[in-house]
Amino acid sequence: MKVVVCCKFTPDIEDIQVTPEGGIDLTNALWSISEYDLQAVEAAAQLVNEAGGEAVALTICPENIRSTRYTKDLMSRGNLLTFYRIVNNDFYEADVSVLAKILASAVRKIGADVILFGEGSSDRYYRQTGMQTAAELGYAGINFVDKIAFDGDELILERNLEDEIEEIRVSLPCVLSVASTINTPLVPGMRAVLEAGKKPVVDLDIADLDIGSRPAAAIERIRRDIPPEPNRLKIILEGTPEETAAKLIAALKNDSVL
Amino acid sequence: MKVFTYSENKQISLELIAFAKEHGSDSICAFAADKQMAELLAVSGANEVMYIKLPEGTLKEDIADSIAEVVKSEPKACVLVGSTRRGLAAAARIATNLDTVAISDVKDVNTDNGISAVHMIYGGKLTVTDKASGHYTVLLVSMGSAEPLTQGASSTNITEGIYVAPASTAQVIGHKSKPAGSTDINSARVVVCVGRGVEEQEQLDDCFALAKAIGGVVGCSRPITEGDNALMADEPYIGSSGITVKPDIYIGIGVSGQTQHSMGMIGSKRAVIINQDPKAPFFRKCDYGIVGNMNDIVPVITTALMSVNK
Repeated sequence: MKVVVCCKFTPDIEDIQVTPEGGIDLTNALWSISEYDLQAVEAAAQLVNEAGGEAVALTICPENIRSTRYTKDLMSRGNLLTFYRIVNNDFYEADVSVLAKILASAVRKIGADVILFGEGSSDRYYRQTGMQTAAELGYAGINFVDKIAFDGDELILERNLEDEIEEIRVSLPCVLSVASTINTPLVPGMRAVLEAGKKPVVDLDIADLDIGSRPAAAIERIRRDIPPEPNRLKIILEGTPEETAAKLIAALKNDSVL
Repeated sequence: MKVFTYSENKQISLELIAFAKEHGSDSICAFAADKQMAELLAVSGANEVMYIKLPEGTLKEDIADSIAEVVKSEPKACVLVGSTRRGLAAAARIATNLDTVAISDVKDVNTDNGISAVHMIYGGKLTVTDKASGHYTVLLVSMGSAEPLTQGASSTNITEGIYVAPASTAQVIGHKSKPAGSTDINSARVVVCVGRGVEEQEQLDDCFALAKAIGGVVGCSRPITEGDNALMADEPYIGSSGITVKPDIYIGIGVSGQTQHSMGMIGSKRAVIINQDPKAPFFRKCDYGIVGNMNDIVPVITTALMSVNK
């Protein structure tokens, strides 16, 4: 079985500076693997442990992710064998249809039985890329997958919906976006981190994929506004717990909310 | 412009029709995958209702290709999809089929010059307005977008559409019920929000006791819902990507106040923060802050509230 985990490297949202014109400044941002993708990587490891085969990672990332620390961070997790990268600074704000077309063609090139995504990305959290990639590939796409089991050549899934758990049988190839509750990702050990640095990294060029060039954007961003800061009192209540509690209750009563 | 609506959720379906009307559409076609829903939508303000009968064992979102097929017969159109987990899957398929993108978490729609959608990105740091480059716009709209129209005003016909099977799909083989969602947090007057700093069941119990004493409900921030041994696994969390609350009083316990979360409670009248870490970003975005260990503070506030209520 071949599993491709699609991962995104994202800047820490807290580090994203918004410029007065509504642009974004990522100069001081710390980047890391999107939190939700850690569960997808772990799910890939569990799949391959059970069914054999290999799991590889695929990402579309900006230039800064070429640094070995990111390779080590990702490749130390979940028995990943190869790191496929499509490096391009322009894609950070690209719309989902652009990303899905590129990912789909990269997946076709790499070959996969199961393509895994996280629930969404920690920076945009649109929750669309996995399902749109599935549609591009013409594969079945299931989101919010909370359990994966094998039944012969097929997978039996549990999908965590708002009001029920749906049990699903799906044949391969398929695309699964896993729910953030599917597992608790293991923290890689020192040995895994050391070995991660030696794993093969393959840079894919858009020109070599079957789409040939960057797909046209489906969305035009016509306005960027900075939302107003909420007007808060910012009063720190001090004293013993009893005093603080009394002050809090008095303040809330005075504000006519209690 | 013609507007199509779809949600598998009854309430959201009704709201989407009202939302389309509020934004000036006089040609609304509502999709339904079950007969009962179609009959309800036919008396709820839609100009047209299309019922698509799905084969047994089909995923409900497999209605997507049938919807896209109908939409394509219009030169220009907007598709409103309810932002549920199924809706997210359906919208991605509809959008791909129409060679566009579904815009997530749409807060508002402008119709001045074509259709553009307002939504927030980067955890609420930026509000952006996006417009589809092509002829079709697909928008994901969450529950609560509009007040459903009074039913029964006038009734419209239900037409049966053709089911278009997707290229590849899966079979539904069973259903399991889920424990009912705890409470109606959206309308709660007081929300006690539990964050990463709450680590033990006993601490969680203290938060529930506080909520009870103040007449509120318990909500949570994202970290505490994640992992397979999460304290509040699978609870809907408050945040720009989760649910939005607007209580009179919001009490955050062990919540750091990341932008992603604080955007989900921005409409709260008063925000109270209890956190051990004086550097938590939430102390800069609150009305009343208490720096300290929740074990010392929360039970004392609970007791004080109970004696006030006597």
